[in-house]
Amino acid sequence: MLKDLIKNLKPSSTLMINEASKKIEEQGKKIFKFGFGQSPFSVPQDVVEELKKNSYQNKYLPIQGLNQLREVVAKYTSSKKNYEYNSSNVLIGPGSKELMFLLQIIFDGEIILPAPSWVSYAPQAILGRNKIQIVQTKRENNWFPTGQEIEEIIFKDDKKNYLLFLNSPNNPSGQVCERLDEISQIAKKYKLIILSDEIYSELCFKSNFKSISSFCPEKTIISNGLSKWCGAGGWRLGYFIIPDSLNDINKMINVLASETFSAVSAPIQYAAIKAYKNDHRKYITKSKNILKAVGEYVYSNLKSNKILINKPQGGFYLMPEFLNNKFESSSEMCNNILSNTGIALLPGSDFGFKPDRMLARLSFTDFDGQKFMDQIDENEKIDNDTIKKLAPKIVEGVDILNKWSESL
Amino acid sequence: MNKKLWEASLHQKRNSNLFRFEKFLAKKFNYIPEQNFKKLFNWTIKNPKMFWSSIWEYSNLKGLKKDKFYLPKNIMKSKFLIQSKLNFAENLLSKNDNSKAVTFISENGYREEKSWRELNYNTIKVVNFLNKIKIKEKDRIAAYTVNQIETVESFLATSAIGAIWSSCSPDFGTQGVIERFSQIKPKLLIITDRYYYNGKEINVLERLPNILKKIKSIKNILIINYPGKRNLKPNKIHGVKIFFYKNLKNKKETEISYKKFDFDKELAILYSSGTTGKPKCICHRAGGVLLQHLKEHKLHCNVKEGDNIFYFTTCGWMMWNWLITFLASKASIVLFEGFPMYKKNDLLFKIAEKERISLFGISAKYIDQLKKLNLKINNKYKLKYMKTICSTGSPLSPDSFDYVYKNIKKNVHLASIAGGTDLVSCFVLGNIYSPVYKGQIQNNGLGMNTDVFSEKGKSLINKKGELVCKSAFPSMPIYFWNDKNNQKYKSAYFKRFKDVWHHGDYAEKKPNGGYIIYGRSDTTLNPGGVRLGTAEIYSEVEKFKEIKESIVVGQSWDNDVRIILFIVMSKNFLLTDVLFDKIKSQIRKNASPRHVPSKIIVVKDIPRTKSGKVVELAVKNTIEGNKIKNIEALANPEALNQFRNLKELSF
Repeated sequence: MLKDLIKNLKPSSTLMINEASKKIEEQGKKIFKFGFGQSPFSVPQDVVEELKKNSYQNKYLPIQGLNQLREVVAKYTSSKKNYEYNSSNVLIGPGSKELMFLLQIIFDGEIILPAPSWVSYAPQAILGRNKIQIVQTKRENNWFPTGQEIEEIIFKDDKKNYLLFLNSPNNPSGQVCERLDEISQIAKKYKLIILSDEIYSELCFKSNFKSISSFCPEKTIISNGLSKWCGAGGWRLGYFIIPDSLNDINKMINVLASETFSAVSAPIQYAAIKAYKNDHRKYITKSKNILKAVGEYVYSNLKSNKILINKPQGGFYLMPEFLNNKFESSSEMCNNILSNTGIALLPGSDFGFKPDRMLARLSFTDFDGQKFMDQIDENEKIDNDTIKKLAPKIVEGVDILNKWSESL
Repeated sequence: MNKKLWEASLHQKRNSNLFRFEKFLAKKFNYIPEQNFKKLFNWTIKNPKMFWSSIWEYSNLKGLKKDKFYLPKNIMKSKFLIQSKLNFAENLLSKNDNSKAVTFISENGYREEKSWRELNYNTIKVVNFLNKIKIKEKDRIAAYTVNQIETVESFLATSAIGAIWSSCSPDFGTQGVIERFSQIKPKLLIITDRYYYNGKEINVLERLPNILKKIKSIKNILIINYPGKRNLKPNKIHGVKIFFYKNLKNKKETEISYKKFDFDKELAILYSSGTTGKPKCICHRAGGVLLQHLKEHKLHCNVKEGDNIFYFTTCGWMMWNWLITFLASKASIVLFEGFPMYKKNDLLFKIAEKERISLFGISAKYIDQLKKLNLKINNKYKLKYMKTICSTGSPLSPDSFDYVYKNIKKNVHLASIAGGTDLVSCFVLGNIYSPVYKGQIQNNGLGMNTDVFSEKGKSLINKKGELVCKSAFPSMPIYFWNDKNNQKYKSAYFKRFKDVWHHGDYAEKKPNGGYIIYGRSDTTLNPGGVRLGTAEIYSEVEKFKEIKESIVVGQSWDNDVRIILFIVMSKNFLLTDVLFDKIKSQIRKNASPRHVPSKIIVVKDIPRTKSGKVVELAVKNTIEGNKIKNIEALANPEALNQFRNLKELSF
């Protein structure tokens, strides 16, 4: 009784690796949760308090989101992008994932997905019945497509509409896109719009994060939310910022929203106002410093002639490539790693890479972020001893992976 | 004067490993190959991390490479490729086919050959034996053996399991062996039952009881028979187990999985010459030595797979370690045992011709000897395959450079090389890009910021001074054995200049990057407060066919130092007044008036170390009535007797 389209979909690999990990854990073995990317930090206290205070809020809120919240988001974003957005450009959703899904439903054209891409873009495109064009990226380009590579796809049929998903800092590669100007030129030249997934932008290790929206704001939808920088994944609050030039899209997502989720939970929206209004720079700086230190620890201790890695530039992940001829596919390799070492990684094939490329996503968030944050000062340099003390599983996991890689 | 004696052809340069390496760098880094040694050298000094990491990659080493370095100002504390893992033996045994890996030849022409497969197989056999007698990682294995294939296999097996190797050749006397091995407490002693020198058989096994009496840590003995001879049987000894090499059994394994050890894993303990006290136990690391040797062999000596490498050495000299590592370049090695002029002055060249030796390594003293005998090697041997001649042990005199090109081979890369046991490798050596100039070592080793310093630590060009190294390098000792807080290590190299390796050679750097070494700086002469190297006197004295050998020392005299020249006369010659004047005038003319000895004294023999170095310090101490600190380092300590209470030196 299932549609063929649906039958072919598999549960998200993130969930599968969690189940496999649980089984191993039940056998009494130690598991290193390097597969799942969840913020290790707690939600800032003032935001939590605000949620408590607003738990009585029980009314339906406007479909596009609470006006006050949309205003602070517009203001917050405008201050960062040098582009004037106002509240009418902002659309609040129950996580940006849902908004992206609706975008896929309404969009008529082809979807350009760089490999690597986040695991849900492709299934959503399938559900939206959009054709997917995958661009295999290269390590030397920070695992992002070049303008030329995108143009080559569009060039085959430049009458069509195209939607490019650009996620920087990237999940799974941990890299930041540098060829923004070049990509924006293509967007300006063709019927190409860009969904700029900036969910990790607050966690960019360099201070001057640049968004594609600064290069072609009129063709860019910005997607962001509370999950990553605010440690509030489970709160489910995300937003789109859609420029006036793409107003049709804005309108139609609203229509679909009204037919699906109606509006985001009211107390969450009230609490989110605080998240964007109050000054959380200290919290963010600390988060970034910790993630940067832990990420660089993993990077510098793991990379070798057998494990190629690009230095992490933002977010929770890095993407090691284990050079070998031992395994047929990256998923076979990740299964081997999991059963031999207890380290859970996601195979590169889940992110659109060809299966025979021995890539995997490693999430370095298996530590108690709150404890870590409490024990360091805002601009303290985090040395290896601190990491050993406060992120012991990361250190141990890296050692084990190193041992494992010796046999390659 | 810079007289150019040889330069590689454009074709040779273009087909060299050095050029291949440059192209390799160009692929990875912002580097443009220009076949210019100075440029490449400067790049390696500026980019030590990229350079040493590239040597690993260029050599395709098996193992896990981590590009982590710690290179502080205090170079003694440097660390290379931290957390990288490899197995030394696995990388020397990466070939495993039926082609020739190692050849043994004794002085009387007895020859054995083993293929890579056999070498692999036999190494596993020894590994099984070591496991059986429960030798563990870091345990010491001492070898008192002949330069034979079994010694190589034992060394490989030792490093394969992470134990530490230490070897002495049988020309070391019982006392010398005890003095060295007792310091490191080995669990196993490997011993060759006998050896031959100039036709004479010498029983080594009968020294065993005395050694065991003094080194109680030895619980197992492995006896190797001299190649081609039956085993001599030892007398029963209580408390130790005796095994015979030829009875070792294999468990039918033809491959083993090699455990990968840290880059800094101990490989071998070598000994300082002991001329200034008890021999120091210098402990070297597996990864560092391997990397340094691969660099020297591939890039400096241009050695390629299938080349045949010969070095005239015993397993008691660092050049033995240097020779064995050629296996890592997939070259085959030739071991010679015995007297190099047994029944035939040109014995080694006969071997070189027959074995198609591509790199022929000897000591400078050996070339001097050939020169003295006025042998015209090229009349008899074409040496078609010989691409390189390496000379070391002591400075190669300018005349010997001429001799090689005139009488051995015209088109050959003569690489005078200099370094030491302290680094089991070289500071300065040859390369295929630079020309060979008479009397000069071609250039620095890549990645080795070698220089010549004045007393005050200033760089000198065209002036003599102290040979130093301003950069860290991976084959520095890990530590000295039994050396609390690295005191001995530090005082051996880092006492003189801050954060700079002071090697103790007296040298001069030329503007073209070449080097001249004038001998050890602790034996330099200071008559009238002017520092003179002994090499300049030697190179003049060597020209006299009437003189077989010589030794120069400074005698403290009248609040100053005067130069004393001791000579050994060639057969049928006497020191006449005419000759006496001729020696003096030639030194005056070609060296300087300051170099002219105050006394020239004829002796019968000159004391030298086991590796053939003349020991000025021992002679100086003897003539001045001081105690000789380590007489056991000498091959012929009895020679010192003639220097005692010499009448000529009292006025």
